[in-house]
Amino acid sequence: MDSITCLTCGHLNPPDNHKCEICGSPIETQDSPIDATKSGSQSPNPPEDLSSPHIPGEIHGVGGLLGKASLTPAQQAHTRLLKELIAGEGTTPTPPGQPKMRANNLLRIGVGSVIILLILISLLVELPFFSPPELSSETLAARQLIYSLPPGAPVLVAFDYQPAYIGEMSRASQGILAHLMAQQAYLTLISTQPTGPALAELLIAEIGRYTGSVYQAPEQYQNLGYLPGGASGLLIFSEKPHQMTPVTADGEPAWENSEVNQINHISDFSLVLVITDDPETGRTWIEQIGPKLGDKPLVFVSSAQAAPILQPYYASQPQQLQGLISGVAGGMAYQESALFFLNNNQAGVPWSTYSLALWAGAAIMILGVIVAFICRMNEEDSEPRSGGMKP
Amino acid sequence: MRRRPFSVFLLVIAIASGLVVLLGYWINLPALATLRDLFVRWAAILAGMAVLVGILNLLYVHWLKVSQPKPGGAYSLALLIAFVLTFLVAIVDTPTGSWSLWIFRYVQLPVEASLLALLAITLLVAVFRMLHRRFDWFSLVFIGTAILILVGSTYLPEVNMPVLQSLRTWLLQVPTVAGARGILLGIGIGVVATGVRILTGSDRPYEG
Amino acid sequence: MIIGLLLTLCVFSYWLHDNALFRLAIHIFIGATAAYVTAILWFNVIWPQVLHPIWSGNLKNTLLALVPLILSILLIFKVFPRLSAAGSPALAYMVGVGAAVAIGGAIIGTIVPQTLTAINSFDLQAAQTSGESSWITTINQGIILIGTLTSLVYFHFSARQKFNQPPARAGWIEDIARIGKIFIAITLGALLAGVFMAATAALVERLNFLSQFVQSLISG
Repeated sequence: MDSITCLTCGHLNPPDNHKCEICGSPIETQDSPIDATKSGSQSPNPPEDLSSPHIPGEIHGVGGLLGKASLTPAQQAHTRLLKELIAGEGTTPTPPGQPKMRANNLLRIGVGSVIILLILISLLVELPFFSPPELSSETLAARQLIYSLPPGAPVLVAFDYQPAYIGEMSRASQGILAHLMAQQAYLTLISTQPTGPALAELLIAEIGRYTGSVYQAPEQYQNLGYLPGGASGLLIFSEKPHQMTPVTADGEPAWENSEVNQINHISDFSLVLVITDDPETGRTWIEQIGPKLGDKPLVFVSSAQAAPILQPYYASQPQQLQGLISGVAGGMAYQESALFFLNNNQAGVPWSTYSLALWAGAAIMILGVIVAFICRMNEEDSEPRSGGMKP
Repeated sequence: MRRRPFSVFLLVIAIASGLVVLLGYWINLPALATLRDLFVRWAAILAGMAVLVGILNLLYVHWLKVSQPKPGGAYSLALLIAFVLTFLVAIVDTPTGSWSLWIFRYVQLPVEASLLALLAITLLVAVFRMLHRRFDWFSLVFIGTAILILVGSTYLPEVNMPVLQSLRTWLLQVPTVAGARGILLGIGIGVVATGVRILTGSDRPYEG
Repeated sequence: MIIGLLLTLCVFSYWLHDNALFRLAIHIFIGATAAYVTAILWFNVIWPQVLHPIWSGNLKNTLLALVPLILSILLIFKVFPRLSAAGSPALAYMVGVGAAVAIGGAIIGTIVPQTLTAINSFDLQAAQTSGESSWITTINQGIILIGTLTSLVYFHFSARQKFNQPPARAGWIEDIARIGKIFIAITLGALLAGVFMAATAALVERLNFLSQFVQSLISG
């Protein structure tokens, strides 16, 4: 006897099977179309004519192939299902009428209005006043490393954050970058993001304006531009920096200054500073560059969203990160402790307004918890349930 | 059957190049090191070119929308005009020239930063909706940690909160590190597993 | 500055409702960014790494640069669906090398050091030299070790299927994973706080920009 095809998954089953071997769907082995036709026996439900003209699209073609084949009840059920599924094809559903403002739209506008108004009022009136944050151990460690750099020390600075994060990252990194410039370090700027070179130039220029000491290229820094390839690019850059980045972001020859023309390996830099918003980017730098540095320090300035994932690298023994400055708070603490005071209104994100916005966000989240708790209590009162909250 | 030799050819390329690089990590042979450096450098350059291919595809798609009138064609035209103007400026003035940086600062930065700024509002709304749909211990611990860290990150001078700030510091340095280390190890194991699958031919994402 | 202000307002209008101004701003942004990236690629990759070595006339450099040039040309075929198979060798090469680099980095950069840390973290002598109480160190490191292990178990998704029952993890794994879930919840909460802080910084920066513009208009 011939094998039987399962209509659900198309698998060929032995003729004696009642259920498909693969999907478990029932297979009608008696009253099969050919057998029924040959034996003359009648199935309980009259077989359906597949070539009926109302079948659209490809079923029509299939109907043409099968002609007036008789179907078993299971096949009829599957065919009806298929017809229903394709019945709507080719017809454009009529759009619903203009919906009223839904609750989530109101919620979005309401929450947004509160936050935006608070921030605008705080920017205009500068109320209330928040104290600068405390210095954490990892930020202190970073500061001490910068203090220990001799003048002219070559430092690699990676600008690996998205332009969207400029508000946070400029505030987070201004302190340490200004400190490096005050220590007269020679900065080599690089990025594994195509927009990194522009961010680097803007930030270096901004710090120069606020501190009064403008860094000039190529005497005091060089911008190596974009390093392609992600992890692969970092691996080869760590071992052959000249080969991988022979020119600056503008296409001019790089590595010509006396502070950097002797650098042939990543460990020839006195310190590597990575400024990033993304934990994956940070992880890539630590995995590819970290093992090649030897005893040279690796310091990160990270967004607050990346710091929790990067923290284990700082906490590791032996340490994979020797310093970590996290978010606006970390940058502010660094600035205050290293005595680099930048005018509060011009250094990116104003600390007091930022702190007030965080408090407002926390308050809205607490409100969310209270509202959800009240709603749940009301639901339980109206429909008593067994047990409390789900584990 | 005709496709099979080509698949084998691709498999040989992927495995051979990968094995040369992988062995270079642990076997110290000058010839192998040179070959590995060459392979990795070529791959890095190719990755940069892949970005260019993506941009060409983007331009092609939007050019089709403009040349064959389709909905959204006006937006595609704006995109193409912005592309041409910015490219001309960046090529003539170099990417770090004053005009290029002007476009970067007053076109790209505002849009990207504004998109991220909207996320602050969206996140708060998402918290509301999440709590409404799922109010259990996991949600409470999740939101409670976030609230504690937000409040503990700021310092009101008239309100002394040493307990709150100590709790925040402990949260970030102990349980968060524990969870993050577990996540990092999980990611590392996953990366190794996926890489081994590629280098043994079980996974072939380059076909098709 | 006016252009920046207008684009900021166009994007912020999405807060109320999706609209044509928002879409226009996004398309202009995409076009400008794509162009800037193309220019960067020309100056930092295409000319110095691919074309200049061939142009320079040095035979060794020319031959070495031909390989990425040919592979790059093959990769361009990926844009055209009918010819995309021609780009597969270049893709296979990138995937093979990328996988190997990722494996090496993961083992040397994350798995081995983080595992060694878990072992070395109970070094009480190191704790004494740092001035921390050994009891506090032991308790904290114990919590970290338990958290690390239970978090790893939480991501273990192998399950057995019993007769007439859906697939489920073993009971003891489920219990351990429940503990790991708490640590994951704390870590994700910290990440949520971090994302909100980053987004809030962007919001404050944009509103500061807007308010400074308005103030400059008022002051003339």
